[in-house]
Amino acid sequence: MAKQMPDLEYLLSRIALRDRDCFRELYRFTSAKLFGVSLRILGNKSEAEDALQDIYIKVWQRAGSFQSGMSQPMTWLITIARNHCIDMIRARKPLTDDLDQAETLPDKDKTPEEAAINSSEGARISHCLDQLEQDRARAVRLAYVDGENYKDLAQRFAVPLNTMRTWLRRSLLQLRECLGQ
Amino acid sequence: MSEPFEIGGEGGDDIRAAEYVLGLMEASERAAIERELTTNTELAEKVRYWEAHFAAFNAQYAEVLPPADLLGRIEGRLFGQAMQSRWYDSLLLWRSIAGATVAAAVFAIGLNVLAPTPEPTDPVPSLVTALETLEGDIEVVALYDPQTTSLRLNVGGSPAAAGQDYELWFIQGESDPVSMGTISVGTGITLAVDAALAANFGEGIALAVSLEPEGGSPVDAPTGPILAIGTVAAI
Repeated sequence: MAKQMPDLEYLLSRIALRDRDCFRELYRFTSAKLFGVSLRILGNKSEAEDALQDIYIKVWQRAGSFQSGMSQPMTWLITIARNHCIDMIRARKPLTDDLDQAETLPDKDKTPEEAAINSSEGARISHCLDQLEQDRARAVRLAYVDGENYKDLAQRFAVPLNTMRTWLRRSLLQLRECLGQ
Repeated sequence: MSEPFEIGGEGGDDIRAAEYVLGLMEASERAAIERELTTNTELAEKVRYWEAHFAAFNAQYAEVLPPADLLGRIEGRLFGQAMQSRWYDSLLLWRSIAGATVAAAVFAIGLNVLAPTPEPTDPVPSLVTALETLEGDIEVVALYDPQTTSLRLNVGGSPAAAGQDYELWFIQGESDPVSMGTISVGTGITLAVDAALAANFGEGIALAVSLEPEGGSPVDAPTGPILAIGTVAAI
């Protein structure tokens, strides 16, 4: 599609002033991405549709709190979407509390996408993830992209919950050190 | 606490911020850190740090077009009513019941109230309509003079409430309504009809009045209910 992405910062500043046309415009250019986020994390079309409505209602309500120096508009929008979807899945009743009986989840991870990283910060985190053991780097990605929690990851990698916790926390410290300020 | 790996002390907040951003926390922990984030600026800074770095993963989310009606549902929830559907429903309802009553009203009200002074040899007939009131206390009669491309209106009833305005719409066939501006209660109001609309002003088009926020609809369509509507006839 050869559509020109409008200035999202400008649109958000107009939405903060209750400009409904700009809200439509923002929706037109960003909803496919945010719907993709919702589908990926929730894994269910009708839940993702409900989530997308709630997400844009939050965008309308919070547009005034967007600060251009603090984050990129698309990052800000995706953060709202991810947080909303993660809250939804964390509020779900767990299907089973018994880790030993749980089957290993099917692998949703798509390796070709892992290469799809741009931006300088992206290049840096990519470099730093490469310093981690492969499994641990993958666990970090699965947590972020698919919204998996420690329990999901422990099941997937067939390790005890506490082991997964330790793995990931150590990995995060390593990442922090590698990324620097 | 039997945490296998202490997250207190140095680096503890870095880890908590990262766990929050990654989405590893349970609902109660998420709620707790979100409360803390409103006052702890240092922690908020750490959260932004991780958000900026992990944003690199956002490229992994595919773009998927949501269903076409979703924006309307969002706007309906945000702006109080299903914006498109409300006026469209009124329009459809009116089309299904409109008929002889409207034509009769044109002659009964239109002629008397407006008392136009047509020249007997006028080659281009004027157009008139008495709008049928569907809702609210408003009565509208309109007379269009094709030669001056001006519309004369008598608007009776109660003025719109504070913070609201009546807005006049031009509706041709199945096309979307086109705004002709806001109107107030009064007699002998003259509106200049712009050239694009004047070219299409003819028998069978409809005029409608909707209730809008002060200043008129913020979008290109009525947002409030249609209060009155009528089809234009030659006279």
